[in-house]
Amino acid sequence: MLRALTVALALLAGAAPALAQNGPLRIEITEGVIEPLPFAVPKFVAENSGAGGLATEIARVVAADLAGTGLFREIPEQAFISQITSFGAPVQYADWKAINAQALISGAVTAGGGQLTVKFRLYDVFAGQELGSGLQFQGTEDGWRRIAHKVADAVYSRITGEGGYFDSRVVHVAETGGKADRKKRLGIMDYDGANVQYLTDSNALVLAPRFSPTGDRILYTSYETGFPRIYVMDVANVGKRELPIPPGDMAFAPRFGPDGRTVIFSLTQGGNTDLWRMDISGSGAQRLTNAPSIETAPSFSPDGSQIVFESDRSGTQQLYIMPANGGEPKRISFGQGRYGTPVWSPRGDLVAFTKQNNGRFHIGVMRTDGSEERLLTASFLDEGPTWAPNGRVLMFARETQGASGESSLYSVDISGRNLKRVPTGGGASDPAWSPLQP
Amino acid sequence: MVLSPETSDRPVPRPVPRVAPIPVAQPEPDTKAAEAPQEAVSPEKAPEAETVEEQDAAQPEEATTQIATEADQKPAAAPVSSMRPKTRPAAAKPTEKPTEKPAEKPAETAAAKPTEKPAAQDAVNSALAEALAGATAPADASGTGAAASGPPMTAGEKDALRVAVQQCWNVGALSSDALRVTVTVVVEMNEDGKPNTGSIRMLGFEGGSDAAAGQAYEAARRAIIRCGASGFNLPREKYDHWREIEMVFNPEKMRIK
Repeated sequence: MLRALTVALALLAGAAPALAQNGPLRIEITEGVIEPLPFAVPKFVAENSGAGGLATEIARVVAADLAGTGLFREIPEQAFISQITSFGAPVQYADWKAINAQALISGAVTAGGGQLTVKFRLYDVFAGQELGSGLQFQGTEDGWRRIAHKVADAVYSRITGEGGYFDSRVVHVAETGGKADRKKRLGIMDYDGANVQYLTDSNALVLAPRFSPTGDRILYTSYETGFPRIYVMDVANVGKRELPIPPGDMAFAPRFGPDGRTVIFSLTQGGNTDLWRMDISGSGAQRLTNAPSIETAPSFSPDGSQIVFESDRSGTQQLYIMPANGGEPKRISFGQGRYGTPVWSPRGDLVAFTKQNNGRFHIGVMRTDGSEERLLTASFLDEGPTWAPNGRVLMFARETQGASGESSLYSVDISGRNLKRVPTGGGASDPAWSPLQP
Repeated sequence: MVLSPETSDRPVPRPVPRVAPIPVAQPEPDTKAAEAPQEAVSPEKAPEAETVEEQDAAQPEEATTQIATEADQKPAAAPVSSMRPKTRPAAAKPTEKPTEKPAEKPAETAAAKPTEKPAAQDAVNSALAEALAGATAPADASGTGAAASGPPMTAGEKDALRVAVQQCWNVGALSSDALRVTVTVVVEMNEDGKPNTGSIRMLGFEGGSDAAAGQAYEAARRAIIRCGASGFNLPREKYDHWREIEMVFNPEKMRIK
């Protein structure tokens, strides 16, 4: 009895703190699930006779954009219980709940005279309410894909809270021919591989194209004079201009500063490679490093105050950060292997890089102080990461092994999930992601 | 409170399993003890039944506490533990208040009712304080409906609810900013265990911007609505305890580093 009582008292005493709480029942949820959010995009409503085809096409592109992120999963049309035949009509939430569509996107298209108007609404099906208010985009019929991307960006942004990245472009080096006789030219395309155009012919070797912060110009390196030189090209009219570099010197690895005027690049003089900066007009050249080692692949922080770059001053290729006007570099990479091609995230919090270790290549990210390094990929040859405008996705080049090996573009989420190939038609390398288009 | 339902339920099934193992162990003392009584009374086997009683007295520590308590005290023990749960909600308050009151209450009561209290000693004061606390506590409890309800939710029942909600808490589409926000959501429940969808609202958040909290809240709301669509498995007799539920959605473990 005594023992039983003692036990009972001890248990009661232990329970007392829990009883002290008052008010509503309170529980804490700490374990969730990570899975794609199911959504439905019924065919957009064609509001005039000329819009029928595009109404279907636009809905398809919106669905592909969302599903392509890996964060969303499209519910196929065959599963639909009801359709949306009128843009303004009340949504039958029960019909969409029944197929577990958590987000529903309805849209309407008006087309005519080369002009296109697209309206859409986004619904949280289970909450039974609209998320945000409807939006309307206008453009040309030719630019229908861009409008579809804008709709998808708005949906993505509304649900995730992250900025979108679908209405963006990628400039890259398009490659044809085998490894021994490979032709390279600059290509530009939508982020999803559509609408490829070529900006240069394949007479001269081209390397490392980079967008300006507004996406209207491209810096790249070309060997058309026999030596590597830096050119700036206007994307709209493909007009180009060479940056003034002393004869005999080699300039490469250019990148814009966030002001759209400053250019940082590597300059090799007398066999030694250092970092320089210059105004896009060609004036104000300034040396940023002065070391016997090789300094290259510079990239500005989004606020323009710092530069991350690679250097072999320690004996192996490592990443360093220094003030944008030069100064003492601080090494940030300390893991095993070699680190190169650092790129500062547009959000400012991470640096993406290529890592070579034990004969394998990786794309990885680390915080700007070098902590929390995470490798996102591994293959025979992965290199040259570039950030999506929202800082959530990276694109890079992957080359397969062997004489017939080909380079192609891949993208991966910074969580390491959703690795996938970007369709480019032919071979492609050295991608650079544009900012979101205006 | 939590313990009472367990003890009241278990007495029924337990007597069988517990008694079974103990008798196995006890035959030894019985047989050992049997030898001595046999000499004193009679060598027959029949006396064994009688000797058992005598042996109990001879071996109070082992035999009596175990066998006797469960068989005999079931009825006595169950009411005791079941009664306490009801008083607990009230008892919880006194435990909070005494910490403040021992110093304050006596002074207050003394100041408020000097004519009666001066003669009263500390023991009386504390007794009054307890009585007052006990009187106020039920009032509070009835205000929330707790007093009128049955025993409160057990840890197991709360766990079941937590697991049910987290199955639908999908953070896969949340931004890294939203994954830094802990949101507290309150939901009113219908008696059938289904959430009242229109009642769901954000009580508060910490760790991010309003916008990020908005996305985090929407994901939390979807979790409650989706997994509650067919009703959460909640004990109806305790409805007053889950009529309103606060859920804290803490994504710390779900974050991308």
